This record gives sequence, structure tokens and C-alpha cells, in this order.
Amino acid sequence: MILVLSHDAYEQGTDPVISWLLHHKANFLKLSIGDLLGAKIPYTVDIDNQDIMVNGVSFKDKISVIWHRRFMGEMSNFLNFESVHAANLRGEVRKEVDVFMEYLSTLLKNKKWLTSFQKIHINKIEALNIAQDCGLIIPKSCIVNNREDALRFWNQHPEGVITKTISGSRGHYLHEDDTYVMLTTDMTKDRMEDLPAYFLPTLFQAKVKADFEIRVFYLDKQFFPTAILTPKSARSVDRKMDNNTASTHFVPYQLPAEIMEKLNVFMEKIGLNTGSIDLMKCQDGSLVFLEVNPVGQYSAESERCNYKIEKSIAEWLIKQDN
Amino acid sequence: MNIKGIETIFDETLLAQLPPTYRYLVRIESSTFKEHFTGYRFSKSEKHFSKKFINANAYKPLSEIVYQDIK
Repeated sequence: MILVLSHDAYEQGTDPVISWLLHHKANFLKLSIGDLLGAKIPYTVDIDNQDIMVNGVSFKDKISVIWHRRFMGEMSNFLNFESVHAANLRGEVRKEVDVFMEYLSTLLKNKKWLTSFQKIHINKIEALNIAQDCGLIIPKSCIVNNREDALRFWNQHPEGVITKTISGSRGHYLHEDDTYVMLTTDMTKDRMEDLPAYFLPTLFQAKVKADFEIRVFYLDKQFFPTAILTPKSARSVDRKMDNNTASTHFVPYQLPAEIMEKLNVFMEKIGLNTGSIDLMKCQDGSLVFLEVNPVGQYSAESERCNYKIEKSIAEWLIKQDN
Repeated sequence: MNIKGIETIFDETLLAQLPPTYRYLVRIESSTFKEHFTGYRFSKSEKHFSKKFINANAYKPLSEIVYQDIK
């Protein structure tokens, strides 16, 4: 059986794959964190026998492959406590669930995983170093906690400097009729000079002089690369701001064999068998590695390049199940 | 997506406790921010184990049949 770990609600990367699983009459089950925590399914985790029992029947033996995609994303629904101790309760309940999930993943460690439980969050800074060790070019980067060093870095990079979160997370805040989103930020000299003398550790990177960005969906050594073309005059510092503009075009792209080989080694070293890899194609012809997202969205590239990535994921899961 | 500018919603006291990125948030009109799925009509699908389901439309036409041809 194929076990899909995802959201109860809409998740744009999951549902199209399930449509293909249904089409192929695959044996699958989708579980959400709500199914496990929401008092809907009675189950027992038998620690002595290292098994998961649902209605008295072993569930563990039925599963052969697990697609792990954004499973914990709805965890916040279970942390809404109305109490003066809410912050403590949130922390403690979250820890209980995390340790329980970690144990479940250990019970299922011998199954074939598409994104193992431990790799759903990778350290994006460590990923840069691993990419570098694999022979990929990365942007000049540093984490700084003070204005003086930040300004020195800025002065060393006349092409410009950007900042983004260390974790790769992207907060967004609803405020009145608007949403405030944290994206990649262009750090102009004025902004650098406005920094306080000391601040929380912050990632700065030299800007890459790029012709265009390439998003690669990676599935067990298969590459689905998309060049995202936006005229320079209409280009933002974060391409997410340009994705839906009329002047942005998504076209299939052929990666050089040497880069594919390096990316294969990188993905193996970092422990991922799927992910969305961001690259920049530079004006000098080189390709710069920016990051990999273990559960990146792929539907825009799949649709616009006719890649049918969702079909490939479903067929990969079915193949592992047989 | 209607981008209104770069600004923050946090005051200086709070900003002093946050990384500088929180000073430069992108302000977007919520109704045009695609990730909120404003204006989308969701269904549900037991087959997909989904309480909020959208049957995705193909981005490109799947055939070359045009309406005039089948009249």
C-alpha cells in the first residue's frame, strides 16, 4: 500500500497525484495529522511488538511506500489553547507530538520513503556547503549580527547584496486588507546604513548577475528543469513577485550533463530523493545553486512546461509499491 | 498580485528583537495574494481524502478541437 502523508485541506501538490493514483486504481491511503490527533481513527501503537494497530489489524505490514508531503503543516490547528498558559501548552503539546511522530517514522524506517521524515526540514545553510563540496557554485554568503560587518560585506560586493531568512521560512501576516510577506530583500546602501549596531543573526548574500532563474523538480534522479524568463526591466529581487505577471514565461530547459551529475551527488549527500532545486543561470554561462526545498510546489512548472510531474510522482509511487 | 510597497507592521521596540528582514516586508493586497485562494470555490472529495478540493484545470488545451468545429 502507498501511504500519503499530507493535509486534510487543499494542498496543491498532493491532490493531482492522488487523481493519478485513483486513475491507476492504486492501493493507497492518505493520512493527515488531523486523522492522528483529531479523535477520528482509533489506533494503538504497540511498542512491545513495534507495530501500529488500527481496529486490531496491523497497519505497518500493509505499507510499502510512503510519500511524505507537508504532513505537519496543519499542526497549528491543534495548538489553539485559550489559556494564560497557552504558550507553555503549545510548546509542550508540540514536543509530545514531535516525539511521537519521530517514533512512528522510526517504526516505518524500513519502508521506501519519498522524502524521509527527518529530511522534511533541511538546514539550508548546510545545504549551501554540501552543494559547494559537490562542485556546485554558490553565492557568496555570510551570517552577520552587526552593522559594521554587514557594511563591510556590502562594500566587497558592488553587484549588490540581498538578505533572506536563514531557515528558508517565509512568514506572512494579515493586517487590515493587506498581507505582509517576508521575501528576499534587496539591501541597498541606505538600508544597510539604517541597520541597528547589533541585530539577530541575519543571512546576507551577494547578488548573482543572472540571466534567468531555473527551477528543477527532482524525482529520484529524474530532472524536470524549467527556465523562468522575465525581462530585466520587469524583474524583482524575488521571482515569486514575478511568477504571475504577463511578462514572465516558463519554458522547459535542458541542464548540462555535468550539472545533473553534481546535483545527483548533492541530493544523495543531503539525503533527499525529491525536491525543488533553485538555480541561477549567470551571464557568464555558469549555473549558481541557490537552495533546495524538500517539498517545493511544482504545479506551475508542470502545467506550463507540460511535464506532468504529478503523473510521474504517482507512477513512481506505484512502481515502488509493486 | 497587487504589490503596494515595502514596509513593516511592527514597531521599533519589536523590530529591535527581530532580524532586519522584518523591516522590509512586501505589502500585498490580500484579495490579490494567490496563496489565500480568495474567490476560489472549494469542493470536497472523499476519494482524495480532502475536505477542501479544487479540480485543477488544465493550463493548456488538451485537444485541438474548437467549439466551432463541433457545432
